[in-house]
This record gives sequence, structure tokens and C-alpha cells, in this order.
Amino acid sequence: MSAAPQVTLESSDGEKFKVDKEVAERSVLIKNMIEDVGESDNPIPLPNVNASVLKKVLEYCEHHRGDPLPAADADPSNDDNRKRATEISDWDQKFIQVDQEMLFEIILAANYMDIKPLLDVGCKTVANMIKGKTPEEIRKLFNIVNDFTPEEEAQIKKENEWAEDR
Amino acid sequence: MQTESETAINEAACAIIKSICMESGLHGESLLDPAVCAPASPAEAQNAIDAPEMTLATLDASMKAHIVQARKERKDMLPINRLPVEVLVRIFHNVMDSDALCPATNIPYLTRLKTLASVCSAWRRLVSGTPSLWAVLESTCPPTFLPTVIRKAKESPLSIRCGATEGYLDLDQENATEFLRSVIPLANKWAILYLNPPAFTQPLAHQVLGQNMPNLRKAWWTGNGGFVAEPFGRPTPRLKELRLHDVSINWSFVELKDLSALVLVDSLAPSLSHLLAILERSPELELVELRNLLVETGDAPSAAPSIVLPHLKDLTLWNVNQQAVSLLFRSIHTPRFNTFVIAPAMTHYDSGTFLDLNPDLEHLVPAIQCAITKGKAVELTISVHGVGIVVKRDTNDGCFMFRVGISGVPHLQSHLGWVQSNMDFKAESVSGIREASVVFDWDTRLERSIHFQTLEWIPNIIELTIRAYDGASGLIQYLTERICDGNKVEWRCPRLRKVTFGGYPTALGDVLEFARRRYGDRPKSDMSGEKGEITIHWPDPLEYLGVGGVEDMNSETLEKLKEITGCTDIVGIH
Repeated sequence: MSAAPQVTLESSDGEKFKVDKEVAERSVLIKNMIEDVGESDNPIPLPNVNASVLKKVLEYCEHHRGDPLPAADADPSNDDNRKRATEISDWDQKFIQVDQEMLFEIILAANYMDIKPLLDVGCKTVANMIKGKTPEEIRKLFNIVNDFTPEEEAQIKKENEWAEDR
Repeated sequence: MQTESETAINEAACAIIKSICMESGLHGESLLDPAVCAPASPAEAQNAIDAPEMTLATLDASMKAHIVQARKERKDMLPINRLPVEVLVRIFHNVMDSDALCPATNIPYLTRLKTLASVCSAWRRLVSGTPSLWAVLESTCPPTFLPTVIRKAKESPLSIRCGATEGYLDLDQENATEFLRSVIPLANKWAILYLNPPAFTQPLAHQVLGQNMPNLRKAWWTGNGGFVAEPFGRPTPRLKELRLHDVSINWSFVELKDLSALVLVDSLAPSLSHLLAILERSPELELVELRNLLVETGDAPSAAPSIVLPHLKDLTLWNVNQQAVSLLFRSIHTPRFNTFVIAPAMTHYDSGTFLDLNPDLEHLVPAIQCAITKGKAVELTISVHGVGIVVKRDTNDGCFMFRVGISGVPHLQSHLGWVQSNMDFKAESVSGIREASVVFDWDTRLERSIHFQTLEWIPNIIELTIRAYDGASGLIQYLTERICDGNKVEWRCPRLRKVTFGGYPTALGDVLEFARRRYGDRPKSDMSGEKGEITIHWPDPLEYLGVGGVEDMNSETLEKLKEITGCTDIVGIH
């Protein structure tokens, strides 16, 4: 039996990862690069993803290697999926239980590498963190500074003020 | 204690002071040293006053600019602020459930949107400037704001949510009417339509359904028994999901195709041939749920068409006339189920006898077995009405489960037989069932030949709940019998750890007998022991025992049961 074709990916910090082509091609970016360049022994550079994040992303791709690929034009605001927007499968939930820094790095990597299902899992996870919280709790969660001026603050407090055009 | 950002700002301020002092030839400490600063003349004295003032003003301005810069850099460094705008918008849409067919929470949409817009100025600008976030029009929106919301949504496809959902207060007539009147002119932009309006607005709601809705993707209409003569009178080419509850429509007007979900509950059903035609035209169907429907079979084809639905995961045919169920079963072909619930009903369309549906179901058995193979936990409920089985892929995972419900046919034994012969939980391929729980539900009269054997074809039963009307005594006897196999002795359901005798009165003598014979002689440490040449495989230790309806259960009896079983969690249920 012949071995599955493999490709080498190079992270921003120079670490090389040899993975099955099928796994790497969960990334539309990599799939397109392979199609454009053709088969090559040269590593595929990923200058926006460091080794620790790339390792995690590849773990996701490996687990989901057999899943059907989403439609290329899938639009999150035009999603016919009947599940609640924030439902995440059990394995994905465990996979994404990482610190906040890593969570956002994974989202950025998924966005850059164009891995829609992973981007979806990351976005849903952040959404679940936000849901049900007050603005102050959200600020505290993400270390966001309340940068509203006192006047803006007063405006916000006025009921439904926000609905007006700016 | 200083935060990291405060430390950074202080350090930046020190750096500015140093650099300004260096530029002006002064050192910070020299400004306060009278020996260094002593003036030689009034002009010099004036200079001595002016120069530090100018320096301080420069210093102040520079420091403020530096603080602004440091804050900006700090803000840019926050992980969440590094996300591209389109990703943050995606997250906001997930927070808002803006694509859901009906609200997931009783907090009005606009109130939740306001929360996002109140976090910081960047989020506020983003919310305000993203039309798709404003494209959900709920009847909870104050009428005075509706025009503003519509304006801010711009050309985005609209979600219309009108009426009560769980937790919502019913709308008053004026609001509901005004809301519906406001959204009707926008029908060409509707993508999602949830209609559960108060009864008095039904005529207006019917008018809603008659609109030209070329972009409609999902529709859920609860009609309070209303009838619409010409629903969906114009083409809805993009409609994927249709849910009708308690509503009657004239199906001859409806040309549905390419659906992914079809849910009809308590409604006037299309005829069987019409229904089959919808299924045939919808190869992407994932969900079919028909409940409490009478499907007219007069125009049904004599031979079942072969309708391949490769994505169908959830099939529920509950209280649907059995002739229709039979033909639907024969027609539908799918590789795997998550939900499979059937309860055929005998109606005037049927011949007066219950049909044997087993031959019709035969080709669907692999789809059912496929779900079991992936299971990790099983819940089996047997009631006087039927059998319910839930197979979960993982004990903590509520998202993916396989449900079977079989009801409506007269002989429980026959459908238990069907389940046992078609759902093989002990097959070699089914190695993952780690835990099972079994419930014998209210009003059941337990019979050894029917019920008890179910405990043998499901592996790893951990929990058993008996609410049966009659026969608990026999079941207790069954569970305490020692099974001898050669030189091996064991008990039924050896992994059973949680037992509830609830519901109808249980004889205390039976419970004590259960405790004594199953756990009484059990060594406290070993799981197995030898008595002569016989190996005894003791059942797992008891972790919970609930005993219901025992009037003479007192603290003394409780203590006695605890002593016999070694279980500390024993409760009397009243």
C-alpha cells in the first residue's frame, strides 16, 4: 500500500511540520497554494502562524480530516444549519478549551489559513463567553477599557439612545 | 498595586521627563535645587520662572500624547482587538443568534444588541455600522424605534419575529398589528419568518403569508388553528426550512422543493402523494417531523417510490396514520439516523387492524444500527405506551443523540421484539456503550416474559428506575437470582449501582430481600471470591437506593438497609 502524500508546513518561527496532504488541505489557503505551485518538496511557509498555534490547528485538521468540506461560498449570516448558532460538538469543545491568548491565536490562524469550520468553532466559543454577560463583565473578561467619554456614558444610559444614527 | 498598563504609562512618563530635561539642559532634581537655580538679575529671575513653566507645559502635552499612544498600543495588543472586523462581526452574529428561526432567549434582541454596543467605543461603532446586526425585527421592538431599525438594516435580508415565544409576554393588539403592518411592505427582503401572533391578528398574519417572499429561507408559523386558503401563493425558491404548527393551508397552492427541514404539527397535512413529491424534490432534507397528522392516502401510489435522502438524520412520525407511515418507510432511504421516532396511529384510513410495519422498516435497520454503533450511553424507557431509547454519543454530549420512540401499536411485546431483533447493542461493532439506564415507567405492569429480558440485551446497565404499577416484586426477585454457569456464579445486571423503586408502593419485605440476597453476603473489598471450587462474581456495590411509597419505612429500616448493602445514600421517596 502506498503512503499517503505528504506536505511540509513551516511556521513563522521556522518549525517544520510534515503532515498528510489531505490534512493540510483542510486549509483552503494551503489547498490553493498546492494547486498553484504544484507538488513540491519545499516547505509551505505560514508567516502568520507560530509553531505552537500551528500544532494546535493541525490537531484539529487531523481529527476532522474525513469531514465534508463546507461550501466555498458559505456565509455565516446565511447559514442554513438548523443547530443553534452556539452549539459546538463535544470533541471541539474539549479541543478549544485553551487560554484566551491561544483561543484568539487559533481564530486568527483559522481566518488566515481559511479553515471555516475551525473559525466557526472559535467564534462560537467566544460568543458563548459573551452571552448573558453585562457590558462590565464583558470588559473584565477581555480586559477591554471602558473608553466612553462621560457624555457618551450618559447617552448610553438613556434608554434606546443607541438606536439613533451617529 | 499598579496594573501592567499603569506601569507602562508611568515608565513612559519618566522617559518623557528625562528626554525633555536632557533637551533643555536641566536635570529633574536640579529644578528644585535653589543653588542651581538662583537668579543673578530680575530678568533672569523672570526667565527662571518662565522657562520651567514652558517646560512643564511641554512636558504635560508630551506626556498626555504619550499616554494616549500607550493606551492605543495597549488596546491594539489585546487579543480580542487583534481580530479582523469581519471576524468580530461573525462573533457578534453568534452572540445574537441572528440566524435562528426563533429567539433562543426571552431577552429582546435589541436589548442584547445594546449590551454589545455598550462595551467600548470600537464595539459601539462596529454594531452601529453593521446593517446585518440590525436586520432582526422583533415584535418586542418599540414601534417608535422600528423605522430606525429598518433604516439601519439597509438592504440586509430580514428576520421577522412576531409573537410569543417561551418567556415572552403576549403582544397587545395595537403593537402586533402595527408591527405586522410595518413589516409587510418589506416582504421581498424577508429571509426568516417566525410568526406566532396573537389570535386576533390572524387575518393580518394570513395576509403576511400571502406576500411575495422571493428571499425567504426559513419559516415557522404557529397559526392557532387558522386556515389560509392561498399560502405561499407566489414562489419561494429559496425556502429551506418550513415549520407549521396548528395551522391549515391549502396545499394545492404550495410547490415546495429543495427543503432541508419539514415540520408539520397538529396541522392539515398534504395528501400522501403531495408529501412524497415534496420529499422527492428535496434531496437535501435533514429533518422530517410529522406529528398528530392525518395524511390522506387516497391518492397514494400503489408502489412506493424510492426516495434517497442521504442527509436525513431526524425522522419523527408521531401519531400519523399507519398507512401513511408504512408507505413513507418503504419510500425513504437514508444511511444514518440521529432521531427515529415512530408512533403509528390507527385511523379511519386504516383497515381496522394494526399493520406489521417490520417489513417496511427492514431497509432502515442499518441506518439505526449505525447510530447505535457510535453510541456511548443508552437510556431505555419502557412504558405502557411504548419504548423510548436514547443513544448518546457521549455521556456529556447533548448535541448528538439518537432517539427511538415506538408507540401506538397494541402489543408492547411485538415492538420490544422488533427493537431487540433490530437494535443489537451487544454486537461486536458496538463496543462503546459504557453506561445504560433503564426505566420501567408509570402504569406499566411488569411481566417476566416481556420486560425482564430487556435487561439482558442492553449491556452495562448502571441505573434502574422502576415506577411500574405492578410486578416490581417479580423484578426484585429476578435481580436477586444467582445465575450459575458451570462453576461460576453471578447476578443479572452486575454493574447496576443506582436503583430506584419509585411510584407505586413497594413492599418493604421485597426491598430488604433485594438488599440481602444481592449485597448481603458480599465481601467488602473483593469483587469476586471463591467458595470451594465455585467462583462468585459479585455485583458492583450499590451507590444509591431510592424506595418510594413505603409507609413503614423508618429510620431503623433505613439503617438496616445501609448496613446490609454498605450503601450510605438510601432515601425513602414519598
